[in-house]
Amino acid sequence: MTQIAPTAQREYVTIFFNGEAYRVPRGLTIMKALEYAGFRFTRGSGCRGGFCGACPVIYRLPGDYKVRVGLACQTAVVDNMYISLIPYVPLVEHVSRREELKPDSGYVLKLFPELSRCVSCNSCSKACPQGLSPMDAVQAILRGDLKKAADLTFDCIACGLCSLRCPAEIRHHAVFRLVGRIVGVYYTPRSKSVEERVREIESGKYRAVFEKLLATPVTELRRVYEEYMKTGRLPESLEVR
Amino acid sequence: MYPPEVRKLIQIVEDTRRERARAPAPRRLSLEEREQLVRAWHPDYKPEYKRAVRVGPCKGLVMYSAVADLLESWPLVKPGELDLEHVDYEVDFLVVGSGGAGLATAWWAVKSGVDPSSVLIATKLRLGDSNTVKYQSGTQAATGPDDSPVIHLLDTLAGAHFTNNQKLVRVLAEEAPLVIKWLEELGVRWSRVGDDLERLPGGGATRARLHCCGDYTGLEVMRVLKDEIRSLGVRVLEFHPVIELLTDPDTGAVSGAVLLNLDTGEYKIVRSKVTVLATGGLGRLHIVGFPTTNHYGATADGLVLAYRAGAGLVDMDTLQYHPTGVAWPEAILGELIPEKTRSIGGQLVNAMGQRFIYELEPRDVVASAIIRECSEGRGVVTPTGTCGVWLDTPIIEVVKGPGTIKRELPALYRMFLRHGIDITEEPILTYPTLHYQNGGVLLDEWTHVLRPSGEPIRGLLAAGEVTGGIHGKNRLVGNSTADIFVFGRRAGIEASKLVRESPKPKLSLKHLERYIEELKQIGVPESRRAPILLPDYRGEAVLKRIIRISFQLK
Amino acid sequence: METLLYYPGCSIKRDFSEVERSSRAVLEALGYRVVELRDWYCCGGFPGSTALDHVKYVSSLRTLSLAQSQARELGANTVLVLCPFCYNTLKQAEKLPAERLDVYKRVAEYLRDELTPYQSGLRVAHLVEVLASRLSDLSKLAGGGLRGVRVAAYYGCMLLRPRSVAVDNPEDPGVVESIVKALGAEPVKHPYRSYCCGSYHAVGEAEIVRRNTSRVAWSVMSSGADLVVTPCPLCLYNLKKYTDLRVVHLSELVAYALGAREALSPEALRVLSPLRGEA
Repeated sequence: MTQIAPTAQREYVTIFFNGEAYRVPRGLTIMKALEYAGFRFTRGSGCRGGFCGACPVIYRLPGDYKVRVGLACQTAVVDNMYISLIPYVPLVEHVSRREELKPDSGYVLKLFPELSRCVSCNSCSKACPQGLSPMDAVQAILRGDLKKAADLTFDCIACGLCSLRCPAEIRHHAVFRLVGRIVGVYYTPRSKSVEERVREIESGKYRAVFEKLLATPVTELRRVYEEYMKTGRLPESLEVR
Repeated sequence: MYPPEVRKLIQIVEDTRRERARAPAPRRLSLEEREQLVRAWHPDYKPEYKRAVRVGPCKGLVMYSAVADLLESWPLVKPGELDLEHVDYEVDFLVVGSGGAGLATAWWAVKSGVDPSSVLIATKLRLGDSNTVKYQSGTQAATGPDDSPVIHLLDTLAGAHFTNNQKLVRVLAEEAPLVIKWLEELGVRWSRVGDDLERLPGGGATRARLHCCGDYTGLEVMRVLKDEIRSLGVRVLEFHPVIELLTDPDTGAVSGAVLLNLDTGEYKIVRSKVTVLATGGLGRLHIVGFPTTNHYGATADGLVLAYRAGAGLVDMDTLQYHPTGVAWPEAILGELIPEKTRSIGGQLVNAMGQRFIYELEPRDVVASAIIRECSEGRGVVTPTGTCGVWLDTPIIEVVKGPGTIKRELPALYRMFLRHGIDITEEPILTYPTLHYQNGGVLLDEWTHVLRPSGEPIRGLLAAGEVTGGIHGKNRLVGNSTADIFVFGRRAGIEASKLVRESPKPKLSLKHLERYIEELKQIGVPESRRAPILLPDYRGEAVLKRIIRISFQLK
Repeated sequence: METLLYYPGCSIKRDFSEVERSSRAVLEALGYRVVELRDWYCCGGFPGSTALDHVKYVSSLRTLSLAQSQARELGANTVLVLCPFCYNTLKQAEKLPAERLDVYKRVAEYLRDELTPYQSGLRVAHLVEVLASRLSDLSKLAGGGLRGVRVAAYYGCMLLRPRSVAVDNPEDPGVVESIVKALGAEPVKHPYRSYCCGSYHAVGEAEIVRRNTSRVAWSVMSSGADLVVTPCPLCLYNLKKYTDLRVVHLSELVAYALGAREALSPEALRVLSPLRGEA
């Protein structure tokens, strides 16, 4: 295991977790610092790269009333931060079957009526560790522009921090996931080239060449490939008709 | 923020940038040159990292020592310790793991006729927590009009120096376009250019055939799949890893599994007619001390489970080190810098300001080149003592125009900005990082797990990173996600057939008896156990003073 | 050419897009350039007109603050609003610094985290005000097709109350009548033209709307009008649903008079085309 052993040259900072003080090396993320301090995560650690929303954190710095947010796997420790981990935000959402989806903001509002309680306070955007504006997406849904809402929330990692801060108790990432699916299913045209290629494959167009290739010894395949790398062309016997 | 001593070293990257933007790329290597470079520098070729495993169906097979250590470990439970009469879950189909392969399998099983309430997904963390959710570089599929699955196959074979199981590669290449279409129909928002899907170039691929969803491909695909699974009524048990498979004492078929509730420590017994392993990779074992790009749960669990049930293994003497992992800052050490950074124009530059390899060679070649530069004194030593080379990202803005990075690589931009580095203005330090398990359990075209003799183990299927043979000794970018969906689909379809044919099996831990005998014979202490389920990153100072009051994970 | 910064509001975008179409056609015919605001937020209309004193201004003040930078780019200073609820809330926000400094200070302080709060320099204007400032041009552009058609105006509440934001005298408004006259039709005043239609009680307590609109209808019918015209989409909706009155939005009548038939919905055309002016 790669571990960070305490050494004389390292600098240390103090962090407070659940109110308790711990000395940890500077330069680590909150997640790695807590592990250094002896905590082993079961919940609250996922991809560890900032993509999955498993490790939201809220914290405060001394002398400042502002609530700050981040992801434990992405936020570096700072001296005297007061940390709380949030491994789960309850949303209790309805999951629609694909056939039930409707390309209509009214459908979204029926499932999530609290959306119309949005008072545009922007607390959600201030809580987003990805720097997105959930409020703009909610507003777009309220005026019927589902495509805009889906585009604005493409990078949402569903950490739930915005929903925790929202006075209207909107369940943001459940809404965004629904809108994203509606847009993906209804507003995104299907690629003709993919359809064409799938038709060709299902008709067995490539079968003969594949069988020939799989019967070819490796030394011959290497030669064919070397040639192909130089000329960009495959030998006639391996061309697909 | 880069400290001042590092800022000084950046100077040479900035001074050489204009010249490098104009000059042609380094020459592409021939197949033989690729092999020479890899043999000289790649960790796969260092005999000191390998040994022969001394137990199990592949006794004598040479593999990475860390993997051998894991296989030479005691199970977490012994025969006779558990009450197998009381079955907690009677299902037709057990899916172990919930990444791309696991979810695809469950979906296709239901689509092929398995009753969703009789499909159980047992996953170690949350539904969808996996390597898949992090993937950025896209999925390879020969969908373009000037491309063909034949070329995809040839590129894949060449990228692995022709060590792959060609039959499996044929399935991959031929069916990858099918899964792109499937995901499109589910509502996955693939990036588009005009009327058509966008296709990007990638290392070792002679046609542009990487399909992405912006910079969050894995996240978008997994969101849609999770939604589908939830709406289908498939049963899901989160935080319930499989710690041991169960086998029928009469036939040797896999008949279920022992799950562990990570919160309470309780075990649960599952009886299933068919089990599929979709457990992913092993990055969190930090083999040979490398950092990793993998998610928290990548600890080779499925490999251990399958091996004990009799599976053959292939290519476990190779691992993929992604050439560009973060070398600094330490906070994000080992995290992925996606291949797209290079395919849109990022350049690898050594400490003298020179390019030293064509950036889009296959991954093992680029990784070997970087290791060579660092080992021969042309690398940059970071403030934490690690070594790396520069990946010049500002040059992308110079060549493709300002705003390119924010548009094409928002996730990478965000990651570095959180640590005070603006990659549109400053280059980044990179070194290879443990990324992918090329090999794995022996597999046939319909995802049956095979014994070394080639005979299938009844009741056991596998899909995704845990399997071997498809990628040979080196995987190409974008082929892993093609793999999980293509073979996940096949596993689901096959499972539905097997479920109809299979009777209700009996449960036992009999397959462990012989394994435990072999462990005793080579004198492995009982304190060494596997699967390890989660890595242990607790500080040394803390570990020295821990008293275990009972066998608990925490 | 004067540029108007256009604030659409949620209702117009979601349910009354035809009002936007006809209004745009009319304003463009009058020579205005109408540019939709890049960043705008729901004014919070309904809750805003009841309680929640400070919170209701956050959104409107934010919209005005962001509008200001676009205003500078375009050399414009008028924010055009079509919906009277939005007009009411945004106008109150515009006047906050001058009229309720204590409330303004709190809201501005909250917004300072994100942006520089609006202080002055913009004029929020309802469509009615813009049209009323161009009466002679409207006369020139209108054909004679409405001569002799008797048109009653129905104002609703939000353009006239409270006094600080009213576009006209709430007890005896006449601005819509002046527009009707400029178009060549004959305006007919009637007593209940600024009586509340029941507004958003249409959702929840429809009886109120039924009762109020029936009074308005009685007032209109006693006046002998051929057509009712209103500057409020919600009043329009309520009158259409609960009465037999022939009613269109003000912008639709103007578009009709100016010959911009393509900007009209089939429903508006159905109401307007039977009207024949005297030769």
